[in-house]
Amino acid sequence: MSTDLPVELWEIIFDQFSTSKSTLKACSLVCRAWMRIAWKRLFHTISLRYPRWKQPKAPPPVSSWNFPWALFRRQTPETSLVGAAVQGWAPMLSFFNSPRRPTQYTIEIKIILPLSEFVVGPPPAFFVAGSFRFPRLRDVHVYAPNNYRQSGGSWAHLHNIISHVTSLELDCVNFRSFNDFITLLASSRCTELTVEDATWESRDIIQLSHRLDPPPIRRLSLVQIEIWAITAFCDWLDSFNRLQNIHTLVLHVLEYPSEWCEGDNVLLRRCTAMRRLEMKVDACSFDILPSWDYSSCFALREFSITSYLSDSIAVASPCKCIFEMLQRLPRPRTLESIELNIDDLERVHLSWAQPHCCQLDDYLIDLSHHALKSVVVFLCQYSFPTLTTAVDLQAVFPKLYHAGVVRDGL
Amino acid sequence: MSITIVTSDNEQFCVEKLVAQRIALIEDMVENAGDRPIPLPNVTASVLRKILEYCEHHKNDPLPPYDDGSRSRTTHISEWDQKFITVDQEMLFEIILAANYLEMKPLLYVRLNVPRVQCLTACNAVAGDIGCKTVANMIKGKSPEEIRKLFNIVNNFTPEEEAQIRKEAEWAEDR
Repeated sequence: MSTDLPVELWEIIFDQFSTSKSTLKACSLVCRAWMRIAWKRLFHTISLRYPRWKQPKAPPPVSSWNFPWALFRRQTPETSLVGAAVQGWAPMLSFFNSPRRPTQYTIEIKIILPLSEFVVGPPPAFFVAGSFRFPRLRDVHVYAPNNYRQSGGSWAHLHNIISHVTSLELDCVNFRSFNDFITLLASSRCTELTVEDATWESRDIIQLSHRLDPPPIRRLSLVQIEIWAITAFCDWLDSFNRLQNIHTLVLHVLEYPSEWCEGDNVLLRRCTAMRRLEMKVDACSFDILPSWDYSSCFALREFSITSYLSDSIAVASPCKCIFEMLQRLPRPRTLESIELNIDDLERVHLSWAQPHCCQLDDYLIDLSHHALKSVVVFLCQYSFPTLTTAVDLQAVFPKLYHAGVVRDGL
Repeated sequence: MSITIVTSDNEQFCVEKLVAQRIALIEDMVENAGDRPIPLPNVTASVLRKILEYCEHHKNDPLPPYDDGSRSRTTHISEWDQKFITVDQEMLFEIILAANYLEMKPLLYVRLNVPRVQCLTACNAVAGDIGCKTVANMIKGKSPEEIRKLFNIVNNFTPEEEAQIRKEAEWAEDR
């Protein structure tokens, strides 16, 4: 190494730059030894989007994918998620094939594959873990949105890559049949699955479900899905004993049609091995929280709530709803950690809701005498710029604060 | 109760046990050493003096409950720690190396994952990380050339390599 510290200490120092890619880029240009340490972090995760092609007359032949192609629309970086928006695959290929092999450090690839568009993909088996190009690759995350339920030409690309996918997000997808859906999943090795607002043209549930081995899903989120599909999906996993694999369930709490709410209840009832429950709550829908069926959540150890802003006005105190929800758990005393990321909490100690906050504070103190070890609260400083986070926490949960159980997540 | 520590340059330090307990390596050695002095062959007197200054200041802090492998991502350093670590680069690196050898994780890098009850003054709870954070803060915002100059590093890239690396780095977008 170029200076007096051993490599392992420089690794620790470089860990401080995980959110500052510009610093890592500068470090990568200092010397060869630093380049290796910086690249481990710079290229740990690569984000890319399958490039569109302009004229949906005929797809380009697969053999042409690695040449610059004039018809590609110029892509501009759209969001921070799209780390490497490009014109076609040619520049990406030259990056992947660089003699210094930056992708040898890649652990995770995040891919956006818009199903509603005509896109060009690489050949099958391009993103293969353990290959020369990606020797350390562990996770392939695919986000496949499908606007307005259009049928784009990209399904083939999803099928090409599905066997390497470890995390799959499908949004607004219309499947021809339920069998198509489980066939797609059975081809993957998904440990994380999110399906939002999917529909099926036919409900042919049974035919294939006993023959297709489900992937080892550990984290599941089914949002705005009809109850028959959730039930059929659970039946499929259950027939291979895979429901027991699901340790994290993500639920969205908002003013649903009642059928979707009942679908969430099905998940809560059937994922009995679930240890972690993540709830994303519309700020005006907190009162739904206590109404769900938690009677089978015996294994629950971790519980997380994130609220997001809504145009509607919040009608219920979040603390009151969380308190009532916790009381409905079959074994609240086995809870080990709770995370609260709720804007309204910052205001409760100055508002009418304070008694509820104290009630939750008392209840959590009681739980801390059992298994509860950690309550993490994410507070934003913008609400009280003159106060420290410590003071905020003390104001919201005074007893937890003095018992040393609560801490600021930021 | 106190214990005696002998540094690599043969200087002896008589240290209160509560203070020495902040040093994991010494805490482990105390049991076997009995009343004998504890030798630290990899630490000089000037560095140990600084380390003990740190231990003395933080002697009443809660000990890290466990090493969960996580490190604080913030590069914030408390005022006292900032003052403590304002030393020349050679001493800074000596402190980091000694903290590594002495297994002083708070001084080196591990976040003190403790409740903030005892540390009401803003971010004083995060007493750790200071050595590596200080070096990280020295690097942040600097150009490759400035970093080389700062740490006296020789650029061993060819101009072609440097241009190529610069180009490849474009693939990693700022978040």
